[in-house]
Amino acid sequence: MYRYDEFDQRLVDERVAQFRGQVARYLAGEIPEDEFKGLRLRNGLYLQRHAHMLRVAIPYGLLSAKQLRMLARIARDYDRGYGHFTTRQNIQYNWPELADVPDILALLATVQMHAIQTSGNAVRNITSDHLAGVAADELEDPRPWCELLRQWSTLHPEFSWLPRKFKIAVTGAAEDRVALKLHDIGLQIVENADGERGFRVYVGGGMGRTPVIGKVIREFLPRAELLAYVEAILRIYNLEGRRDNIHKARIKILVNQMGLDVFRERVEREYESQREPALMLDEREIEDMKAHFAPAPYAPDAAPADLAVARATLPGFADWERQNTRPHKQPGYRVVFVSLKAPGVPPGDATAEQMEAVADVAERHSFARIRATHDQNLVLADVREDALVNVWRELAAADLATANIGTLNDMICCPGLDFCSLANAGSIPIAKQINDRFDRLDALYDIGEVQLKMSGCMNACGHHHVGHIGVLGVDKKGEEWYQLTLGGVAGGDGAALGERLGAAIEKARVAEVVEAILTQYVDLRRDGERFIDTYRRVGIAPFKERVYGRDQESKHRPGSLAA
Amino acid sequence: MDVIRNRSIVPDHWRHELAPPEALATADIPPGDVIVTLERWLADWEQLLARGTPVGVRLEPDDDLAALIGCELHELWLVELPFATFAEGRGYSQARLLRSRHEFHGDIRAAGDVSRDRLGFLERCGFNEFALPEGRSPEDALAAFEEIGPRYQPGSDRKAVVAELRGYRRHAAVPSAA
Repeated sequence: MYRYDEFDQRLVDERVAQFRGQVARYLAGEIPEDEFKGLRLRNGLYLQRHAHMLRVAIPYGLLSAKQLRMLARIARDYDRGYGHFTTRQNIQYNWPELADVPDILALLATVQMHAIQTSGNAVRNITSDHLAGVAADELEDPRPWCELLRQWSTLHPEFSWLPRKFKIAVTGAAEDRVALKLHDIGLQIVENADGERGFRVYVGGGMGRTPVIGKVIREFLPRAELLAYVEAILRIYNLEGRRDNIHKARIKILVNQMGLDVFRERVEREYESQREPALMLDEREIEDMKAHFAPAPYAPDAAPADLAVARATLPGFADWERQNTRPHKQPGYRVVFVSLKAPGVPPGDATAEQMEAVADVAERHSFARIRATHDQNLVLADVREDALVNVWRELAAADLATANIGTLNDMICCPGLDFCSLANAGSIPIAKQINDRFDRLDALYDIGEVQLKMSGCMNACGHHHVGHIGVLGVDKKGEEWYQLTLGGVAGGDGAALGERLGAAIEKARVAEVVEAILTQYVDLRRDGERFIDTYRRVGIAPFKERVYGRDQESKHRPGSLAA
Repeated sequence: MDVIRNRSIVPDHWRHELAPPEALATADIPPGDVIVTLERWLADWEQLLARGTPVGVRLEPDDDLAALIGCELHELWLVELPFATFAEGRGYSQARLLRSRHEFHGDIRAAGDVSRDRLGFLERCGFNEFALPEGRSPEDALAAFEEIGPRYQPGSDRKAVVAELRGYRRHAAVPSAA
C-alpha cells in the first residue's frame, strides 16, 4: 500500500497544527461560530444531534493492521468504544469532544491518516473496488490511480470551494462494484484498440434528492492525462455549477441542464486550452506509484485446500465459507468478508475490540491489510485456503463471522434519526426490526441475494435509490414513515434507480412489508432467479398487489398482507 | 483602511465607483484611482484610461470573464473578485484563468468573505491582494499563508509541486490540441 514520503507527512502534520490553532482560537472566543463551522467541516468534524461527529478518511478503503489498531485506540480513548464504517469506505466517530479532536488528528497522522476533505464542498475520499488487486475480472488495479487522485485533490487551491461536494470512484474491473454511475465522476480503466490503457470517464451521476445515472463524457482518456482532464471537468463545474440552491448544486444538475453534449464540448474546449505540464503524469511516476500496490508476496506452494471434512464436521463453517468468502485470482487463496452486520448491532459498527481482532487476523493471515467496503463490511483479501478454518474461528470469537454477506440482513443503513441532525426517521431501529423478523439464516439463504438499502432522509446516505429494496424514511406530521422502492441496482451489470412501490408504510410494519415482498418473490421466482431477476421479469405490479391489495394506489391497508 | 498586498500591509489607495452608468456619468467620476463595474469598463474604457490614473474593474461572479479578457485587459491595474458569502468559489477559477492563461500582470484582489483560511488557497490561484473583512487583523492573517507548505497541484504562483520535487513531470509531454 502507499506509504507517505516526507512531503505527504509534512502536509498532514501541518494540517493538524493548523486545526489545533483554529480550535484554540475558537474555544478562546476569537473565531465566530459560523466561521469555525467552515473550518471544522474541512477537517471532517460535524455537529450532530447529540455531539460532534468526526469522519476519518480511509483512502479507497485500504487500511494496514497498524492503522486499524489506531482506529480502535481512538474509539476506546476518545469515543464510546466503537466506530461506524460508512458507505464511502470511511469511519465515523459519534462522540468525540471538540477539545480532543486535534489530539485525535495528531494520532491519526502518526499512522499516515487524516480527516481532510471528508466533508465540505470539496473532492471527497476517492472510493474504489474492495476487491482491487485480487479480483479475477480486473484489467488493472485501480488503487495507484486513486492515490494519484487523492494527492491531486488534497487541499486543491482552486477546487476547495466548489458549489457542492464532489465524489470520485475508480474501478479496474469488468463488474461494477463501486457504483461507478452514481458518482460525480466515475473512472473505469479500459484498453483501447491499440492495447493502450486509459479511462472511460462517466460524469454527473449521483443519489441524493435527485438521483441520476452518470453518462459517458469520454470513451477513452489516455492514462497520463487523468489529472489534467479531471481538472478541466472540475473547472467547468466550479465556474458554472449552481450556487443559489444547495439542492441543485451537484454536477449532475449542471450536466442535465446544459445537456451532456454541451457540457462535453465545454470540458473538451477547456481541456485543450489548459496545457498544464505539471498535471501530465509521466511514465516513471505511474510505474513508481504502481509499485506501492504490488501484489502481496503469495506463497508459491499455496494450493486449493480440501475443506470437505471441515464443511461436514464444523457446524456453521460451510455456510460461512459459502456466504462470506469469494474467489481470489491467486490459486490457493480466498477473499474473506468480515461481517459488520451481526444481529442487534447497527450495520457498519465495530467495537475497538473487534477492530483489534480483525487487525490480529489480518496480521496472521492476510498480509496485515484490511479493506473497508461500500456495503459497510470489512475484507481480508488474501487469506490462504488452508487458513480459512482458523480465520473463521478467530472472527467468530469476535462476533464477526455472521454468515450473512449478500443476504437481506447485509443491509446498508445510514445513522438516521439516532444520530444525524438531517434525518427524518430512524434507520437503525428498522434494521433491527428486519433482523428480528428474519432471524433464521436458513430462511435468508433461501431468499438468496437481496440488497436492502435504507436512508433516514432524502439525502440518501443509505443509497436507498439503488437498493433492490430501498427504504426511505419520511416525516409525516411528526411521525416516522417509510417509502419503499424496488429494483434499484448500484452497479454490477448495469445501474438502475428503484421504482416507488406505493404509499408510505408506518414504522411498525416495515419488516412485515419487506417479508410480503419477499414472499411474493419466492412465489414467483423461476429456477435460479435472484430477487432482482424476478423483479426485472415481472415488474412492480405483483409486489404492489401483494403489499397494498388489488386496489392498487390505495393506502397501505392492514390485513392486505394476509397471504 | 489597509489591505494585504504581496504579503505586506499597505494602505488601500483605491476608491470604488460601482454605481451604474445611468446613475453616474463616467465624466463625473471624481479624480483618483478608481474601481468600476465591468459594465462601465466595457462601455467607457477609453474615457477611463484618458483620466491618466489607475483603473480597476470589479468582476462579479456572474459577470462574463471573456468580455473582460476581450477588452483591454492589460490596461487595467487591478481586477477585484468579490466573495459575497462563504459558499462563493468561482473567483478561484476566474483568478487562475486571468493569471495563468491570460497572463494578467496587474493586481488581483479578493474582497468580501476573505477569511483567514482562504488566503493560502487564494494566493495559489493568482490573487496577490486581499481586502479583509472589517475587524480582522491583517497582521494575524499574514501568518496564514505559510501554515501548510507542500502543494500537490500547480498554481499561478509557479511554486514547484510535490510531484516535481520528487523528480516527476519535469518533461511531461502536453497533449496537442485536436
